[in-house]
Amino acid sequence: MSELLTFERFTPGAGLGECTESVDEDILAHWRALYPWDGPVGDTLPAGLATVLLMRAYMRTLAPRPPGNLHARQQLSLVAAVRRGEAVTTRFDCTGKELRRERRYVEIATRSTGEGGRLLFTGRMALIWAA
Amino acid sequence: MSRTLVPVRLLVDMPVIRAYAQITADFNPIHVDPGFAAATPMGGVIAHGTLSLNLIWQSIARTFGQAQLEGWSLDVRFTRPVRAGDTVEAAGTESTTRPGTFEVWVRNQDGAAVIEGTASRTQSPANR
Repeated sequence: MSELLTFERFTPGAGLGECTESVDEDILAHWRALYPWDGPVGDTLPAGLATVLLMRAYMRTLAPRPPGNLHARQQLSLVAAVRRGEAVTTRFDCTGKELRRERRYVEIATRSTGEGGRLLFTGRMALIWAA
Repeated sequence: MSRTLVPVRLLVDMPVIRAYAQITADFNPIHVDPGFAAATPMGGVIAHGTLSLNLIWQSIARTFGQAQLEGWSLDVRFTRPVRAGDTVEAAGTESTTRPGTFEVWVRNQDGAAVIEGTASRTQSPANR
């Protein structure tokens, strides 16, 4: 098992890795159960599933994490809709870290591309790191 | 007159939180382990922030159509935890000082904001 990804190990400006995920029928079925009004339209997945792909990639790439991290802020720009079954690769880069009021803030930039390298969405996450 | 976004509402209970943990592969114990969560400053289980954030996308989609979401950007802060049993509602209204930019939020059943931020169309839809 890899070493725990603690606050001390983040280096602003450094890449954190990348991961490829896709929305399979199982994920889609769970999504429909959660949000019955928000299904795919033709070949196009709902925008919220971009967030799901982002979070799945985050879980796999930035691991293992200390338990109890908190999501503080999220910026997300949708450039193009994700297509059904499309493999989406998300790259993560640390853009900053800061101790504020005894809380450990980590900032991460994300860039997600689909098949053929087409840009799908970009984002920035701010997290309060637990340890 | 400012435009408003069509509200979208969701009851967030433990089955919903567990289902969302499943699809995001996010089993952070603060979301799924009541014993662990009770011992944190949160004082109990809280829902994933993006579980509620998704409602803002859905609110924009209901207002403008899902096919019109390309080119939109969100910038939000998770301002308050969502607890199991909360009902949350996403909505928004167009800024009076920045036409085309919407102040967006998700509020709980008490009217308290759990997510606040802005949404705007920052670029033309990509060629598909």
